[in-house]
Amino acid sequence: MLDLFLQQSMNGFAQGMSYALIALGLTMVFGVLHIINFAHGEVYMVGALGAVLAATYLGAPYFVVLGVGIVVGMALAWLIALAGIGKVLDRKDGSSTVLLTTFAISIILYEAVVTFFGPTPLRIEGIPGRSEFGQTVVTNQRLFVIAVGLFVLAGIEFVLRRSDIGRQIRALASSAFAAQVVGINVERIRVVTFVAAGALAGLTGALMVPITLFSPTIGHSIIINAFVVVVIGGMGSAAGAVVCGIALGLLEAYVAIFMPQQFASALIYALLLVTLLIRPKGLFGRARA
Amino acid sequence: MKNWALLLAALVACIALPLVMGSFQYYSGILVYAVVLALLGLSVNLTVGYLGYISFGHAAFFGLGAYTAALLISNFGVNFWVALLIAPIPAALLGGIVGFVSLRVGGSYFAIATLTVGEILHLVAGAWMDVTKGPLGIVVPRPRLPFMEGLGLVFHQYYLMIALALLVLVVFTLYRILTGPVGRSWKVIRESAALGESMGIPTLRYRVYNVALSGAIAGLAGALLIPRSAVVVPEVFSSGISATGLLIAILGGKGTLVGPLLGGAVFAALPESLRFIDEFRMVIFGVILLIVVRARPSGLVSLIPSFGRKSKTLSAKASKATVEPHFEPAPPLQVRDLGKTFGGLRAVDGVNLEVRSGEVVGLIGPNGAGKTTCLSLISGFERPSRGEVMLGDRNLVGLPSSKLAQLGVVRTFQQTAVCAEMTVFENVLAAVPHKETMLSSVLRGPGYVRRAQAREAEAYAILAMVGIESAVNQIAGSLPYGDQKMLSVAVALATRPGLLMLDEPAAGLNHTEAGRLSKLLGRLRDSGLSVLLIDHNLKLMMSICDRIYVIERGSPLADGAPAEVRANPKVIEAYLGTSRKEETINAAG
Amino acid sequence: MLQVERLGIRYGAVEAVDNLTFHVPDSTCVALIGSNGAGKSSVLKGIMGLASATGSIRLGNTDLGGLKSHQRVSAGIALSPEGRHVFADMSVKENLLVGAAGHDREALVTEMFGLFPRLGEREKQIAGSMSGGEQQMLAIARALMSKPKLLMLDEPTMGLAPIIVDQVIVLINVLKKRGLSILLAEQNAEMALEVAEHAYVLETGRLKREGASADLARDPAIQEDYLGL
Repeated sequence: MLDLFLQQSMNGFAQGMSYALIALGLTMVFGVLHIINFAHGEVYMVGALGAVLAATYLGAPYFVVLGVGIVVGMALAWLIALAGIGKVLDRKDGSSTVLLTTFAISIILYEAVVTFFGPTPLRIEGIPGRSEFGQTVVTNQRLFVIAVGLFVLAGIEFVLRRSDIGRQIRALASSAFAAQVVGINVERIRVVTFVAAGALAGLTGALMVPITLFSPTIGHSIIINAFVVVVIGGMGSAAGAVVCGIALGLLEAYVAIFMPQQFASALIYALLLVTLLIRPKGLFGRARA
Repeated sequence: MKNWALLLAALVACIALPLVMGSFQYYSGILVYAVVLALLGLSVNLTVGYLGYISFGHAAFFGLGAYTAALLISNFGVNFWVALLIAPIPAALLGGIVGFVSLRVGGSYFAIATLTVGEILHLVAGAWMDVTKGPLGIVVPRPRLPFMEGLGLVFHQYYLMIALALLVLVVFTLYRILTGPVGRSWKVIRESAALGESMGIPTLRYRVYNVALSGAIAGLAGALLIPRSAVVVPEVFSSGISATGLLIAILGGKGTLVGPLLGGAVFAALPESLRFIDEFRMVIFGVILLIVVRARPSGLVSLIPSFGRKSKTLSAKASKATVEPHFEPAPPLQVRDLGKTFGGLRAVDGVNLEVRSGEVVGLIGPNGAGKTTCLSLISGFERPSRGEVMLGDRNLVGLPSSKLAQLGVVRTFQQTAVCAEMTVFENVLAAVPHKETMLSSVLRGPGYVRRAQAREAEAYAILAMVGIESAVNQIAGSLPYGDQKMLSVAVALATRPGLLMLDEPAAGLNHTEAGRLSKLLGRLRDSGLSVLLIDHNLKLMMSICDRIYVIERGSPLADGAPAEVRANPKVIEAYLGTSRKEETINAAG
Repeated sequence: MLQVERLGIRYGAVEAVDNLTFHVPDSTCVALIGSNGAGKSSVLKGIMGLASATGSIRLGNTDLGGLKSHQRVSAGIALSPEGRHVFADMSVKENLLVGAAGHDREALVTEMFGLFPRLGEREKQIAGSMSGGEQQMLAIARALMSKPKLLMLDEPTMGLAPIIVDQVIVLINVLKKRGLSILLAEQNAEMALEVAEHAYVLETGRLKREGASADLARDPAIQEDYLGL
């Protein structure tokens, strides 16, 4: 039992890292632009697809494949910002309109990928081999995901705290009006944040695809998990997204010991509703005056 | 009259259309599908268009309706047509629950919550083999009606007949609710929930009603599709259904009743197969949605001007009725040791305040002294950190602001809040208290008609009292600033306040307008209303107030009759301007 | 320094500012006086590029028309907004650093701490937890971090104790001596007329009066409407 528990802990941690990275992008975009990017999951999916194509057709080594995931994620995010957010955001009901435009974009991306590549799962190799810790066996790819994830999280924290651009992002999240007043190029920071979130999603896609296989539906399932994470963690809270993302991965892995996967997912989704009922601002959320 | 003719024509069409469809089973099927989609679109439109909350999960309600009917039929042998009427009930309950859970927080959460609920049901329907038979679905035999067949009709004819009749019924019901007080309240909430609360609309309850009704209609749509699909599978919960509903509502034109009918027809008429997710089609729909949202947010219906969003105008009858608005003064308001802390900052600290019945009391202080915060604390928009607010012997702390408004404690906002898209008349009418329910709005019995006329007369009388009756049928957003300000006072008066709290009503008014306001305040005082007034226009305050309280940096500084306050040295120093010493300025160099 | 001609600002049907012309000479303080809703803040927002305006706005030889807010900041305009709007969850020093893209920041921060010793003592404190007066000082210091030629102060004395108001007055005089031009929007007319050389009186977005502060302060109509005498 203990072995199973440890085993699931490692698997859940790796999965949770992907939730944390996706939710972090979602929550950063919400914090800075005050919008929900509904197409964020599809950026993850297309990033993973880019990785698959680079590995399969170009035979690129895995580190290059990761780079492809990042670049695809950034490019796609930039296009989404162009098609769905620019000009729309400043309308009176801008944020709800953006919800609709990104929803439309997510439909387009998902259906286009299904149409062109079909629903059959695709797979690629990541970091080969596995490591043993006592009875617990973990694939090196999972360890790699955890390591890269921690590295990226530390890097983001450093950038937000210590760099000019990071301070500007935080300032904009704190008050868009004051950010304009002090001369921050608000539009640029918005795009930077949005594209950075896209890079995160694309990278996560490329990191996870050797583990989860590629299918067009992975974007849809991860976005719902990311919503659960972001709502429970508190919309706009980066710490909440990371902690709850990893916690969700672990929880999912443990619950899967006891019941079929579909019920486990349904149960976890229900957590979102329970959170809204008892703590609407999320565990890490602060009431804003 | 025109509306009755329309209804009659619709009912005739319900019978005639299926009759001529006798040998066109294929087209009859498409029509039924269009009806189902129109119902789904109407349902989504109710929350998206009339309440302003976007839903990504109406499939949850749609599918729940379908499964409820299917399970009733297969497990309990209930007749389909009976099951069809029961199916909306669980969907309505689910709508109410989702609404209650998510609407307290805000619009984005509602979108996420609906999506998640749809996903949960999708998973459960697929996995709970014992009950739902999993992905294979529940097969439902064709529900034939011997009575109808005795009349010589074939199944697809009376299926279409019933579907059309249901659609007419739903549209009729929605029309009456939406043009009645409940629908008007939804439109106010769409503009601003805070404004709704200040008018005495219990906004959470009204939002929950809206989502519940929307859920019921979606549930009906889901169940109604069963005879056409013959089997209920977990895909009825898929996000494709939710997307389709949203597309129909937005493509057709949100906030209108005709929009979803058009949208439903378009979606059914486009080349389609019975499968819900026809990949290639959805790409195109996604592109269309993107273009519509960006380029033509008001949808297809905006191409036909006479079917666009409408706002109520004054009827001739209401303008002739002579009603004199009168106000019952509220019991005395006692505020003791009121305090509010925002993240360590003491915005209000130990304020005591009394407004006796029929008194006009002023609250003044330098900008940022905490006057508006005081008002928000008293009116229930903010919860005090300490202190008590008593109206007579009733403690007001902790009551929702809408409840306070119903008790007669009504406020206005510094930033003028009016429903910009509505007429001046409808703005005021929306604030007149009513006891109507959705049911009474639909039935419109003689009592309802009488009460509605009384409300309209009252609204007009208030407008006349405030002096903007000449703008009665104008769209509120197009009024000049001063008139919008007066309109917001009229809206507050329409709620039949006992204690009216005005937050800087004179701000931004020119001399003439300020004079008009001053006259109105005088009339209100004579009518016996208690008033708590915040303003910077000292001349106005000194001339109209019985007593004045002065606060500075959240704390009380002085109070008394205007002349006393004016003579108080502390007030002169802190508020009317400090007398600084020359040396301070010289020291600057 | 600043030349504003025929400025007009509309929000939908509402005309907030109408055909307003005024100028701020070098190294002087000019005040905009008026009650709430008179359009003072709108004027400052229009100059800052935060509200779309018609007419012409020039800073020295630079035409600000069509420039975005951040470009106007680079051109030499800074605003300490009404209600302060400090970045509540960032430290005092971070607030200052955000306001100073592209300058020698550490030196500027040291300079600000010299000008505002209270801020220096609270370098690491989270801005949202400071008192109103301290937040006001921070907002002004943050505006100064961009090395502006024209500093705009919107209601800097709002909700402050008289002793802090005096400090603001002292500060404005110091800044003027350093060659800064100041545009002050104030409801507190007495304070504004005390510190400014010249003042413009606004009512419902239109210019009602203008003149040297000393003359306005003696004017009976102004005294009655704005000085509460």
